[in-house]
Amino acid sequence: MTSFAHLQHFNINITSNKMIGNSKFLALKFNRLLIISIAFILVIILLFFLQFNPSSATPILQTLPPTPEPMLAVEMGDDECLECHQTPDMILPLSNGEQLYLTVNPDQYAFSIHGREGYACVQCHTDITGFPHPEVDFETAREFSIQMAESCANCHPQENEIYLEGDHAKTLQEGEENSAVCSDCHGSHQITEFGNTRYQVAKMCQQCHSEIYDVYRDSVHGAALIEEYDSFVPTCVDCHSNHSNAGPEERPEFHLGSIRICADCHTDDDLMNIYDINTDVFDTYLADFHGTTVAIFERTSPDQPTNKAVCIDCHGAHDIRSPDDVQSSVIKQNLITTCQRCHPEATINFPDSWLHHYTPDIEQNRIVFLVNLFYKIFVPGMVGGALLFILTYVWRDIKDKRNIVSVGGENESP
Amino acid sequence: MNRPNRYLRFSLPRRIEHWLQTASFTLLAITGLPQRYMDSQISQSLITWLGGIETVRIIHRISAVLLMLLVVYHLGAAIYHWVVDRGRLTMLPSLVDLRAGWQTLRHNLGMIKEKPKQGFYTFEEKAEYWGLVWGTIIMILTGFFLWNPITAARFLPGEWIPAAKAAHGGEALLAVLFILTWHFYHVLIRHYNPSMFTGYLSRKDMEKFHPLAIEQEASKVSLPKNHPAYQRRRRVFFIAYGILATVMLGIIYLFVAAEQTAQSPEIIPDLQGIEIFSPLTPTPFPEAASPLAVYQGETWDEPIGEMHASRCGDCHNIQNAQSNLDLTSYQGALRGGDSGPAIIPGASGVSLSIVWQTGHDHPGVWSPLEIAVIRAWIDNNAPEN
Repeated sequence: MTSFAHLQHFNINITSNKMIGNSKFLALKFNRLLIISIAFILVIILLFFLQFNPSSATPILQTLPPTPEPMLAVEMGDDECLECHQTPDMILPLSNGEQLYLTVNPDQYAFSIHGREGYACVQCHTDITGFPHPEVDFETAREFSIQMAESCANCHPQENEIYLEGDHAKTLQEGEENSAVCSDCHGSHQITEFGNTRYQVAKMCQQCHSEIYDVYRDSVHGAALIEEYDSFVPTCVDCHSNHSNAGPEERPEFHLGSIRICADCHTDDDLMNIYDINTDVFDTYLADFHGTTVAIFERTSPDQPTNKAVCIDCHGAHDIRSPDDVQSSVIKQNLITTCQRCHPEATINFPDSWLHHYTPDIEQNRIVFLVNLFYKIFVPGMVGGALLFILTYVWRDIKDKRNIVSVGGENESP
Repeated sequence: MNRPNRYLRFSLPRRIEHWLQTASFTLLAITGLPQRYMDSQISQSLITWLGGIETVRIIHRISAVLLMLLVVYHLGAAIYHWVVDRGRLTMLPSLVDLRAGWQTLRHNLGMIKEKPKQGFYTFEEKAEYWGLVWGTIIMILTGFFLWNPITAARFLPGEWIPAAKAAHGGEALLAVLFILTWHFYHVLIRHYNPSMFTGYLSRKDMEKFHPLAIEQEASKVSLPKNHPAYQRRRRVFFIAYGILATVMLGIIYLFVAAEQTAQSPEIIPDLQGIEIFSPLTPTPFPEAASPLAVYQGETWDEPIGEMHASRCGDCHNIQNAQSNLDLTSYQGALRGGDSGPAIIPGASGVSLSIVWQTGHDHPGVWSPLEIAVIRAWIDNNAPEN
């Protein structure tokens, strides 16, 4: 039905076109059609010539909200607890043979943020209301740590919410009981408000991830942090985040999103100046094959796994080295091996199909530069020429039509 | 068929070819340009609407195959027309067309009264056709490089592949803009030309736009289809074209199947064979409940320097010496910063490393036990080693 109506419409158009010149009304309609069409074409041309800026990088580390006020109503004072728990080497044997250390150092606690703010023992140890204590309902020291972490959430709900989004919480829920809880990173009785320094963070993560730490320690970032105490290089949480820690093992979107983590520092002029590193690396990546596809993925389907290379696929992540290092995966003599990880059939010319983070110019990647230059002139030249030529037809047609109309008018008036 | 009032311009196979070409061109454009202009919101919506970038690329490649098959067909049709039908090569460009273009320009500007007389294909149409031929050649060549970069890099410098990408994008933009301006203006806007829909142009329009074609048609002589000479030409054509078409189809097959460019990498190569959870030692018991430290022969080298470097070094190192204080070396600690020496051997009470940690508005980094250890070390004249 609709298609038939459409055809009829076409016929009308054909006949109306034939009658142009006989009718002023139709001529007017024709002119309007002409103007609208040209405007439409110009808009399309404009749209394609417009340049768009890539959206800015998002911050990686969350800033923490303020800690809530202490709860003041406490039924049981610390002195009561310390009467017993100050005793050196007070140990509770657990059913699995482990020993739980029950001694508390009052000076250490007094120095901690909770101690100085006047929080009482039972505000964290909420199950204790007096002596004798309730039956122990955990079998291992680990179970006790996991239970105690729930106390932290009482006063730090925002941090807990963020923590629950992270991989530690995720794997903990999946039954991996070694997965870190609050006290594994923050400590318990000795927590200060200052957190850990960047160096300490790496050392702290080493407690559970020592093999990754060993790899990281030899990387360009790790060596600077651990051997030179350089505070500008990334430590673990800069990439993996702190409370909502994440990695590619658990989430494919981390792989895709990792380009922003690298870009965060590597596009920062002030920061890169210190090391004399070029900040064009991100833009040149986005302009090249891998980067273009990754950027499209990032915008249209960020959660879909992709096999397109991101920064770490070529440079390495924990083992990233300076590109001048002979062990670097991206130094010229190692590059083909790196390419072959994803392109096993690649031969010796293949790495040069990647522009090596250079913007094409007359020195570097000359052929690409010249092709781009050619089309920068050729496209506007051809299309501009065509448009100018079209304008002369329009000009001719308007003049001719005026002549017809004015001739017709003269004929009618007498 | 030609009747007194109308003139057959495009036979049905030609029209089908044109519309298949249109379909392939449109699909290539709407799946290709968003990849070139991926920063634009329009591109992103289009890609999402089409089902994501991987789908978009599959559509692009299927359309490219359609385009290449059309080239094979078109070559056959053109050769048949030339060799078997002995038809006029009305599409061949010549100096006459250059002159016609020049005269049209002068006529449009009112410099001459007469419009140039043109043949079956006007110079406007030839510009369109040969533009498309040029574009198709460039797009197929560069498209091969992009589709099969590893194969291409076996024979050519690697840089040709990004160069092909640049040319592919530039040529695409040119083709789309040229169709939208030159082609649309001439066949839709200036004078609606129905012949690609109906096949026919009115005799009046034919006389107006293609006067020479009508003159030439009168002198057209062709053999009847059942003539033995015509039959022989046909046979020769089909054998020769059969071979040519097989070769071209083989090339298209190569195009599609030459290589599988990228295989999925293993996740983060540097973590291969590495245990994610690898605890250092069983968790040690917390510090004993006595902060009173006795000097046990500690020196700067072991472990006081390490303690300072790791805890204070973030803010007080050589590169980033806040308050001009460097605590990563023994000399730096003795020299001190804006407020004075950090370590004064024998005098822990006035050594700023201790003073600032107790009661001042400075981030506290030492535990009481550590303060006690450092205090004991300073009071024992703070030996370096």
